[in-house]
Amino acid sequence: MAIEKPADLARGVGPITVRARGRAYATALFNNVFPLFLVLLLWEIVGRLEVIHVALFPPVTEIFAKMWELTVEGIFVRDVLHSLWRLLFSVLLAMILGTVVGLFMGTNRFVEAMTIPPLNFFLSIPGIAVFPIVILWFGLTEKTIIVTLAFEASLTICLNTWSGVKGVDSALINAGRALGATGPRLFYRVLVPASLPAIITGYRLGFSRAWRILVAGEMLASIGSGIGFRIFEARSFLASDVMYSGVIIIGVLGFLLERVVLRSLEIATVQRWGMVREL
Amino acid sequence: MREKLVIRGLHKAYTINEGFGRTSSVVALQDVSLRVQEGEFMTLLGPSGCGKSTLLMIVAGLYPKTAGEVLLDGCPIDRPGLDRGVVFQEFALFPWLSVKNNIRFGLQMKGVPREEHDRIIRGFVELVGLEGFEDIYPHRLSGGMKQRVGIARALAYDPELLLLDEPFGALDAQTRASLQRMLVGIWEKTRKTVLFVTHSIREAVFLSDKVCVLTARPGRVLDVVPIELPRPRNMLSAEFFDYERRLAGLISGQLGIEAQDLFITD
Repeated sequence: MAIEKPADLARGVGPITVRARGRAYATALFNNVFPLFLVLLLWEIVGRLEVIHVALFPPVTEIFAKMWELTVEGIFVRDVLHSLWRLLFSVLLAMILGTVVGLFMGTNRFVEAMTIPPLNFFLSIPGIAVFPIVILWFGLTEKTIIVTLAFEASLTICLNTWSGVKGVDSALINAGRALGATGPRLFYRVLVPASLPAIITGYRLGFSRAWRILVAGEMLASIGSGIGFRIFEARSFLASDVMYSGVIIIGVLGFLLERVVLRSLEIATVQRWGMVREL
Repeated sequence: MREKLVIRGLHKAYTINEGFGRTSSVVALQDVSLRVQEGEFMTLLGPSGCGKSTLLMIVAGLYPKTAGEVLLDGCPIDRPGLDRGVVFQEFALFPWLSVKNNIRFGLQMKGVPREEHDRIIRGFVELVGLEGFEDIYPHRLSGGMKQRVGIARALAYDPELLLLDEPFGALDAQTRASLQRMLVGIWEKTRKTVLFVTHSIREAVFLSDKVCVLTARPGRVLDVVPIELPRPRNMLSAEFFDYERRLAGLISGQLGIEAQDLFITD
């Protein structure tokens, strides 16, 4: 490689910068992966030593072998797809319902006064508590899970949308009015985009709350598929490797949903507009 | 010259909610009357809290008035409208719209045919010197550039009256000076009627045809001083300083402070 010119070195350009950036990425990756690797290694050692009964605490290599096996057989693929379908469908319902009601609450005093007390009450009920009641209504069906998830997520989304609309900078509303926007046009040209950061935060919270309940719901409703169902079913066969595999898959999926799907939505909108700080 | 804006016997009282069901009333403006001729640059000057911004916001139709009349071209004003353009101290640009689309907003609300938008926007982008920044989002702009967009946005739909609420108050001295010059240039080109709010005496003398001095709360019109200096104005001339001293005397007189103290922050 050619020797860099001193001037370039002083300005911090050229191959040095590239190498430094590459090293920064490598360091970040290492910092994140190494602790995880240590945990897995410790797990493997404890598992192999059989300090705890192997049926309760299988070595991590066996778990991954089982995970691979069930993935190749298509069982995990089907479970994941079913779980995701339930999650996405119910959160989509909740997004539509929660956003519409939340926007109404934020702009109409009467609607606000009528909905805030019941909303706060319902929010203090964990969604899983109403699950048995929903089972009475709809039986052990897909509908039961979707209704419970949508109930939980829509309340969170609704509350965030409402507080987002209430928190819109009055200077922006005044600017919109001064520029001739009134009624519905003021609403969707100014209020909605201005409250978007809060609305998206609501979607993220709604998603994570729904995700938690989904797994519990699949265990209770036991409708033959889904990653929660798989874990619960494996318990009756004492198939601990399947149970651990399921838990790991849930963790990875939840992480990906939050980091990839919802973060991208945020980066494409409010972060591009500088309405939230970049992470 | 025709009278563009007439304000007669304007009162404004605020009701302040002090919590626990108690309220109190503050009089912000008392019997304010003012006439602004067509094409005139009128500045409202006064100590902070004198209600000059409130007066401007009432003319903008953004605040309700308690009593009195505000007439634009003889028609009473009680709501915002596209016959007035407003520039805010805090810029109030829409962060989700690019520079171009911020300027476009008023055109869309007015119903200007779409095919004319680009030509009009280009004209105003050039007028405020923002060529090349059309597709940038406001958070990437400096304060001075933001206010350039604010001015372009308020002028793009060709309002009758331009209202500016301490538009350069949040800017540093140099940016402020260059925007003041730009505003004078725009005003000379477009010959809009302007109502400008400031607490800076120097700014008022530099920009205005007439300066309306308001008293401390409750705000009343103390005096309307015509600034008879040729343009472009020289801030270092003796005549310029005479006007500054005269206005400082008017304001300090009712605040009970030394006139020179008004220049400490200027």
